[in-house]
Amino acid sequence: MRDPMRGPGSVRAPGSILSYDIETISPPTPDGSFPPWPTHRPVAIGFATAWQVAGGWSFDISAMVVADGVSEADLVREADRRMGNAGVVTGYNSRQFDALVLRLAAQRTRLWSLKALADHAAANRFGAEHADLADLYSSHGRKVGLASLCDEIGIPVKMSTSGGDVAALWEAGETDRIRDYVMEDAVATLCLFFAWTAARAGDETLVTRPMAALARHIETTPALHHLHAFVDCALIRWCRPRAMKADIAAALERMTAKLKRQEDERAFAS
Amino acid sequence: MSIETATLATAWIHQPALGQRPARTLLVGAAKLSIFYSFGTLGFDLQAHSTTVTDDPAETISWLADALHVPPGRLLLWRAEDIVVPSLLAAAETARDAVAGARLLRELDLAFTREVIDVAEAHGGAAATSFDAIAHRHGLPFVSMSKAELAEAHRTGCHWAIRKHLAARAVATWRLWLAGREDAEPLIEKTEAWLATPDAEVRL
Repeated sequence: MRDPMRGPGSVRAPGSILSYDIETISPPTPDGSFPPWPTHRPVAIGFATAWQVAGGWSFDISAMVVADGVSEADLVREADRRMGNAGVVTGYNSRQFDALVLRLAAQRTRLWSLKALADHAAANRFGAEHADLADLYSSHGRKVGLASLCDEIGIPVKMSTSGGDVAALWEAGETDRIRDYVMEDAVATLCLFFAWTAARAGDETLVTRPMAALARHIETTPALHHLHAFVDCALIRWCRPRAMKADIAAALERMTAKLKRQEDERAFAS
Repeated sequence: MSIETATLATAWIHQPALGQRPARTLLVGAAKLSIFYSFGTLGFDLQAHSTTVTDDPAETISWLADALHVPPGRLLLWRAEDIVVPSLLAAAETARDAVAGARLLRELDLAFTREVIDVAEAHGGAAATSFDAIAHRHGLPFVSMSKAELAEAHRTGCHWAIRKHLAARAVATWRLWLAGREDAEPLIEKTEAWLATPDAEVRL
């Protein structure tokens, strides 16, 4: 019998989650269609890492752009390092685009010992270590855009720019806008991962608690001011009071168990 | 009478572990401002409670549990997520009177089934460091009480100082929330009128 704790259905809060997204440039095709993935070169990568510590959630949100001393190889190496440290890696269409582009970039830059990246680029589509949300949300059927899912759930996405603008921004040297944009997408993907996990497990605390903690992290980190739309988004506004309610309910459960234990001890002693 | 809205202000002291005694969080004071409609008229009720060094620390826990027994339709708090709720949970879970602690948690659990608003969210959320500064910025008179002053009031049995401070904070939280609403002009006028009456003094 299939182990119900294996595969993407095995939803529990993983110890650490890495959400990532890349931005690429590629030569345009004559018919204006999306260029084949091998022609894409990564120019930016956004990371949103979440991990559980002492019953709470911590976050590390950052981005790298190939500019000002950062090379394509640096970007690929950092992706590998972070993937190696993560319990679960998540992305949007990451299994069929982002990871493939990064793996090819690694070979182009003669980086052959990036095992974590290699593992994720070759991840089993039903495996639990790499959660491609485009696959999971469509049940491995016809994929839809990240924005269409986020809009429905109340997660802000594509706020400052969109993927189609990246080439023009890159040409114009507007690396800060690319950095902000890729970071936004990584955070939106992380939020979507929490939503997916909670819905799959049938446990709303898997979205309320991390989302409330994410809001606090953004509020108290001045460098993330451009992500403030997440704090005001419908999903986080819904999650914050419910996360407190969950904490209270958990404390009440602990106290009830403590009183029961004391009652049992008294009964035993009498 | 059903309570439409209530604002809550609490004060606590963390006691570090000492010898055989485990660390504890003492709930040393709480104030509640209730705003309700009674027979079509807006009414206000301001109450506070405190516990000082010679009192049973469970008294304020029980008082707050009673105060929340009829859950308000809307509960307003300041820095609920990272300060008020965690401190109340710590006070309840470390209380020597476990029954009182459990009762507070039960009433809190019920209160959180209704609408709960963290007023700080509109002022920077977890980054809203100073209630005093934000209250002053909105023209609300409020005299803060430092941790040292609170500890001194607790040590010297100065109930009045603790209750007066928390009552003022509960009122300021309500007024701060009103200040952020576009349709609150009539409520602001009624609040000002109530504040000018002796009823606005906290019942000690």
